[in-house]
Amino acid sequence: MKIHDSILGLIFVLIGTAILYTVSSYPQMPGQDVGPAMFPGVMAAGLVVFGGILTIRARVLPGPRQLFALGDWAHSPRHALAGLSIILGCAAYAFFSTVLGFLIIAPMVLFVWHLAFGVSVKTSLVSAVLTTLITWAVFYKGLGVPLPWGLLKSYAF
Amino acid sequence: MDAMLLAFKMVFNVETMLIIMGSSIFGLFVGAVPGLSATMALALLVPMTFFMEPIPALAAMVTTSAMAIFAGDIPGCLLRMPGTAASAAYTDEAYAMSRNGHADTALGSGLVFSAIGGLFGTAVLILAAPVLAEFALNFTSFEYFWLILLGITCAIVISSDRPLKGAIMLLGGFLVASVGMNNPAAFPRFTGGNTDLLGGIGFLPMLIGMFAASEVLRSALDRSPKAMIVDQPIHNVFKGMWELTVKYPIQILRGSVLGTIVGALPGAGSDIAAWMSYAMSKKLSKEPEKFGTGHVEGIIESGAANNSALAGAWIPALVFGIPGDTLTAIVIGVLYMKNLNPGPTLFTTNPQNMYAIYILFIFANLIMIPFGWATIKVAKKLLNVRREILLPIILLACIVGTFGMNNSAFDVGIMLVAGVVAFILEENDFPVAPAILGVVLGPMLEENFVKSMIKSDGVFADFFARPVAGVLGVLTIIAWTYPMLRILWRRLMPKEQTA
Repeated sequence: MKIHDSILGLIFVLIGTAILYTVSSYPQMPGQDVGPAMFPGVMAAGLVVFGGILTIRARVLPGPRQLFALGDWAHSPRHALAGLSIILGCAAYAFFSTVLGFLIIAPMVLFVWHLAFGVSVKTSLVSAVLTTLITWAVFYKGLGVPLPWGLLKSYAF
Repeated sequence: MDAMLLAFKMVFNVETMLIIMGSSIFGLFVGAVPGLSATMALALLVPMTFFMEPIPALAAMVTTSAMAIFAGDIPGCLLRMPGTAASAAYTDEAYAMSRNGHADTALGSGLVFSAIGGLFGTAVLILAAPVLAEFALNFTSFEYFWLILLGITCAIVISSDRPLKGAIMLLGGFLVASVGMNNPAAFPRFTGGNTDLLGGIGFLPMLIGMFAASEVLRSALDRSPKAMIVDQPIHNVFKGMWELTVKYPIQILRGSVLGTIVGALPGAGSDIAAWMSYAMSKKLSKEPEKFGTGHVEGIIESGAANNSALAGAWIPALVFGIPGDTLTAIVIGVLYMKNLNPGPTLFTTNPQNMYAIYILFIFANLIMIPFGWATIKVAKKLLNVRREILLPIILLACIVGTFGMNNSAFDVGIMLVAGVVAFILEENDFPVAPAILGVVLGPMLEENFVKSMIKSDGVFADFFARPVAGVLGVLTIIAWTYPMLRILWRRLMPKEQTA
């Protein structure tokens, strides 16, 4: 995914400006020359300056003028789907793991990821279940990570 | 002496040995699979170290990184795809050797001279770190402030061919580090009222997102055709190694010295050490015309350089808490997690910990030889591992590892955002390493600046008052202004000449 440097530079200028605006309302510390606004303020000012240089440089120097271009993967539905499945799968885990529980959400996302990566249904199923059980055994039983039980809470052991 | 005995006991016990063996296999596997980097191996390992004692945790980090850097040579040699960035410098050379029927010599050189380079770097670490630590005991916040600034300047100028983009990433890292209440004023910054952000943006979720999840995403979207393994038999990889050692002693020494120095510079790691060393080897060789045709000389020199850089990077990390490269940035995170806060006092208060680290480095480089030999034996099977099955498993490990640190689904969200942002920025040639340096060094820089300002009562001239601080300050200012002066000089020179 290629984004033209002039656009990215502008995004950094905007982020820097927003941070400068936010820290302008931070309080001063009594009896001190430096408050909580100082450090992020200097960094944000740097971001504005460097982002500005990036934008100007990209406009002045010769080079590609296309503002936005998707990668080679955009021409392959399977690869695009695989990439999308990673983002949606991680988001689904973040949102639903507590409600559904690890032993339900993990094999689901693994199964979808395997399929999206082009693995056969049978292998996907076996790998998803085995990986979930091994991960659960290592992290929950072995290392004591309290992976959520969710719907299976009454069966917790 | 008691401390040394204690250190031996800390390393040579069943738990640590088992962890070293497991980490060796893990590091060799991740390093050998193209697309999975040494940094990814360490990032995935950090959640595990959370549940270990300090020395076993460090054993895991040292062993995994050493093994992964060597194992990166294997796919480079047989597939023309470097397993890690540190092997990229001599991948073409090693592949050409394989095609000429010398895969065993290429792999053997990678293995043996990596171990020699690693041991050389360790020797420098053992000799230099305590001396530097004694010197650094007198450092105050002024010296640390300038040292950090000089370090990050080096990181931007040396480690990136695009200093402007590197600087932006560094500032981004600093800003991420300033989220939350972890600042000298304990004022909640950029939290937006979200209590999850009061403690700041977790280092680990960011790390796993930037170095593991983003790599999985990149691999998932990669449409390049599967590389073909060179169909050449691999016999005895140790055959002819003694002859090569006798023939190229200067190259081995030069690669090890350069690697250690480059590794010790903040921001420059094994990959840059290997590139510089390969270039130097070619330039100073008696047979430069043979380079690129399958000549072992460059592999010997840069193979020694990339592993010696690993130990070199630990010198500023342990003595000053300033990471020499991305791998040591992760290690510093683990050191803090284990209450082994890096700094000169680490050498004086608990010397047994330092001795244990030295022993670990020596041991890891020695066992690299049998473990590496075994990996080369099964290399062809390893390279045929089905990445479409492996990648989802790695992704689940990323999620569970991230979740396991704080039992927080919010951290999984941070990991995802960090992974996607790192992927997009890397696609647009922004180096990711400066961002992680910014995250590690941001709080240190702010704390030392505020302390210095309070001590000096706001008088900035005091930042140059102490001799070492003054020298470091001047060096930093020169490093900042040098690129601008060079540009000015170039613009002025033609005018003078034409006048």
